[in-house]
Amino acid sequence: MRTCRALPAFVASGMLALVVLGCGESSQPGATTGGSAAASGAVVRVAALDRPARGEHDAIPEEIANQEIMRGQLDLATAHLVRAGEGEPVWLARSADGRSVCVVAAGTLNCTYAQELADSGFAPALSWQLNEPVHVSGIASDAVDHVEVTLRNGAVERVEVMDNVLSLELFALPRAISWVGPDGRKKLDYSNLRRKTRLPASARAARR
Amino acid sequence: MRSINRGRRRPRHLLCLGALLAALAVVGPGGGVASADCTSGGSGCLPGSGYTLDTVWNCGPLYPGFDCYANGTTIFGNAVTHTFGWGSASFPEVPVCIQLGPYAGACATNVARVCYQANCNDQNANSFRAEVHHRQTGIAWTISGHAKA
Repeated sequence: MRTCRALPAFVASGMLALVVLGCGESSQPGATTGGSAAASGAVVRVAALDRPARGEHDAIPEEIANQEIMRGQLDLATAHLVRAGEGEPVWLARSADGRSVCVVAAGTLNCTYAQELADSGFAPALSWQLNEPVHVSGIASDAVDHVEVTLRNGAVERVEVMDNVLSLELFALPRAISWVGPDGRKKLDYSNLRRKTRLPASARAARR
Repeated sequence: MRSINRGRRRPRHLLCLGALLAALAVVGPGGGVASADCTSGGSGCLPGSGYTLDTVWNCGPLYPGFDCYANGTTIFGNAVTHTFGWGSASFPEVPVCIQLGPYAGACATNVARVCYQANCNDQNANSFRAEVHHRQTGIAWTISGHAKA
């Protein structure tokens, strides 16, 4: 009986929570602006973005910068190449509105608000494409120097952050990524993501 | 009399059939396959005219564990299938993911964008569903999806 009386109140409070938390939101697709935290003018230390740009060395190549998913999203003058050589090149750049920090690679763009980055210390990013390895990346503030990546087989690997960027390639999606930031330990679970295509066995062996 | 009517109708039917085939060629399953090099969205590609579908969607407040498919539905069977060339998921301050079928995807905080192929050359022939979701435990957020095919 007590349960029956409480039920309407429970349902009503749940609906109210939905209205408060979600119904009023309408973020723009692809937008890198908006949100109270973003508007607060966060100060986040990302040393790789603060060093002087090295001209063409740091510039995002036209064939990538002109990809439609990048168009209008980035302040290209702020781009810094943070990973070169083996593997896919990765750049850091500020968003066009200056409120976000973005990690850029061929065919993928992931951005996070400066305030979010200041609070959590790290913003993981994953991307996977047809016949490509899974790119595990992310932007770290100066407060985070490593993260832990839980692989599909349950093994946990400590991965160092270099130039404020985490960057590694896997042949399968990771199960989780965790780190310790200014506001404590955080973990993002990816165990229910699915991916159909895998690299050929020879390519997987070469990347191990 | 009957044969005369048939004679008049046949060309109209042929015209209709031709128009139908032409329409299918433009918007059908192969419609998203651009004939030109779409790496940079140049001639023959959006913002030109290569993509035949530019869709923006959300499903209202969405709890983690639920997928929101292009067309604004959480029901897999009601989702639109197409040869999506790229997709985007966004929401302020929340880890979000975009998945282009089982072939491509991206997850990030706030904005995640990915092309079906690394060079963003939308030449794919696979039809699949595009969906967005978020990974913020226990809270419902309205995640925006955007994709072109």
